Amino acid sequence: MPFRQSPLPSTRTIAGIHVELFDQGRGPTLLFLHPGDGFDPNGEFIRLLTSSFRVVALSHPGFGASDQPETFTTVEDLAHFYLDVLEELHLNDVTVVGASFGGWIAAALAVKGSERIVRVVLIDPIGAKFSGPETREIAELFMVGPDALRSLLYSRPPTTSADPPSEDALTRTARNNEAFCRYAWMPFDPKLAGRLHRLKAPTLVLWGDGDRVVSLDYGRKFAAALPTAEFQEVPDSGHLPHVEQPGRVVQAIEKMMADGAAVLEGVS
Amino acid sequence: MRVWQFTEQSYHPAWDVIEGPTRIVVPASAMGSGVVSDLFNRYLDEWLLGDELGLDIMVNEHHSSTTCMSNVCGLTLAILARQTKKARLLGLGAPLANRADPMRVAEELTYIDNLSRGRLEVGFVRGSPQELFISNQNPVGIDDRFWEAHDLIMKAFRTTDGPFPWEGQYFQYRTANLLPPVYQKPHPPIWIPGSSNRIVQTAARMGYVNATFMNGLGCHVTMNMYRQEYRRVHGKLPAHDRLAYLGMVVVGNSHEEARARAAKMIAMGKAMGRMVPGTMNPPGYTPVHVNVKALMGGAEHNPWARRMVSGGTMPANPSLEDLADAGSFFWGAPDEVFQQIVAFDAVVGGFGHLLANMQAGYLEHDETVDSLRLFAREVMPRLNALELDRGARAVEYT
Repeated sequence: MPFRQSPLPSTRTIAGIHVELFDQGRGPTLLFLHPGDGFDPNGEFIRLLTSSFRVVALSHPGFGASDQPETFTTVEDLAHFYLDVLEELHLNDVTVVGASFGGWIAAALAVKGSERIVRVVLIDPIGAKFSGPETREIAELFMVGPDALRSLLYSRPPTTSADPPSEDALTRTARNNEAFCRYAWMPFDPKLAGRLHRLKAPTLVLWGDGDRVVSLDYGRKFAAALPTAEFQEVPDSGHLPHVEQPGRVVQAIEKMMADGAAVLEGVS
Repeated sequence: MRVWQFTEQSYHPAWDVIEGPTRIVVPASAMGSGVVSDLFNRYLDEWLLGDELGLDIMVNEHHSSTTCMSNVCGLTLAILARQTKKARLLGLGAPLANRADPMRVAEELTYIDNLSRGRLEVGFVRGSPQELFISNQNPVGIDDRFWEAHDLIMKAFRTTDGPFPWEGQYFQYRTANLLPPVYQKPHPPIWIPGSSNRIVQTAARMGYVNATFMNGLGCHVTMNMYRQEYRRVHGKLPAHDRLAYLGMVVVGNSHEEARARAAKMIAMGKAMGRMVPGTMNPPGYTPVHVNVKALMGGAEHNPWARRMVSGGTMPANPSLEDLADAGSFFWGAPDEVFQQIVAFDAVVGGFGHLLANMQAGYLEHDETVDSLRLFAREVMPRLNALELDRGARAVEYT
């Protein structure tokens, strides 16, 4: 377990689903979509972000203590749910930031073309398939033991706390694992790549230079499939740069916001 | 007590030449085609002998494995349906949650039932966790997928005025219509193995045979759960033939000869334990609250799990004698094997079917044949008498 699981500050029912909600900080609105291991409200990344932005984040349906609708089985279900989130929370001029699995949701959400979304930041997203059937582009995440998984995710696996986790934290972890498997057992949607041209909001694609889950090459393909995207490597990081290099990732987001909609054409 | 002769149809020659796991990731080059042919034919020959000796037959199914080459249960059963005369044929079974097309499973079963003139017994299997990495079915929702496939197949078995539509969550058919229909009416006997609460209690409610595998006296808890739920729903205790237990069995002409044979068979357990990391409990295969309990170091406590018939506790590295005492492996001279089975049966409250894994590991053909003959001649008649003492079965077999 890379971080100590803890509840989000509040709960709310959105589109009939009871979910955990985090809504803190002042500034432009940023909707953060967490990776497959859940949302960490106490991490350095969120602490830094909330000093410049209003950060809204949920435990996705099925994760943390958010309800799992039985009918939700795909990332498309989550993407449609987040359209409801944008509407019911009255979020406008939103920058959607998604990391890993959250990046997949962000892409699937943003291709639907909501006017509420003005920018997108994808941090090492999974979810798209670019190569043929014999090429595995996204590392196997389920058929590995926990130590091997940590080595895949991080350039320097974090140390875990010596304190035994509480029953609540273990329940959150087990629910996160199950929900992630539910949505990402096959970690891509074969139709997503063909829809990425619909992601017309200015997009920043950040990629850990040492990502062992999805390679830099995959990241460049992802960015190239988007009409307007800037691709930036994040040094000294694996698959989760917002965890390993939170300062650099927040800086890149701040710079993008400061530059307004002026985004480099094409891919670096 | 009926005895069902079982083997996993393993490819044991690979175990010494490959490193690490014995399934999923084994290179096909580790298996020689001539040897595979010899072994498949040998295992069928041993089953044909079992049929002559009066044993019933059980066949299973796994995939991408050297510990079980039987990858379409129905293929083996179809051959046995044609070549055996008397044995009832139990497929335990079709891993429903792993198969993409349940109607195809029903068609295979129907063929076997007709070919054998009604000797088929149908086992519906949820599927072991590692199989999900081969079939690629999502572990999350496996129970619901299993039960929907079950409902569909049972509807297909019972329907005589089809077709009918099936528009389920997991499976959809415009025109489900099982032609030809099953031979046994309304359907062959149904078995569901497993020890989870949902499986055991549902099997009890439906009156299906529930089988537990190789867990020694731990099956006491499962069998009691079945009996309690059966009595709650049906108002009486189930007949013994609603409960089955799978253990290893080998007989020798002497204690020493049997021990040598048992030592060859026990290699199977070690081979089966060589798993790919991460495949034993994928997320969703086990409910969240059970996983949490296990992570907190308090897995569901089964007070019978490591107990032995003689009253002791099974040590961490059990000897062959310990395994016999625990009821995992019945081995010895004929008298000893009979006594072990009877003592085990008494402690767990009686069961009607012994699923007897009588060929495993490195046990040679000649040894298997000799053990089968000894068992059929000197153990089985006494087990049959034991059944008579316990009273008639609730369900008569054709």
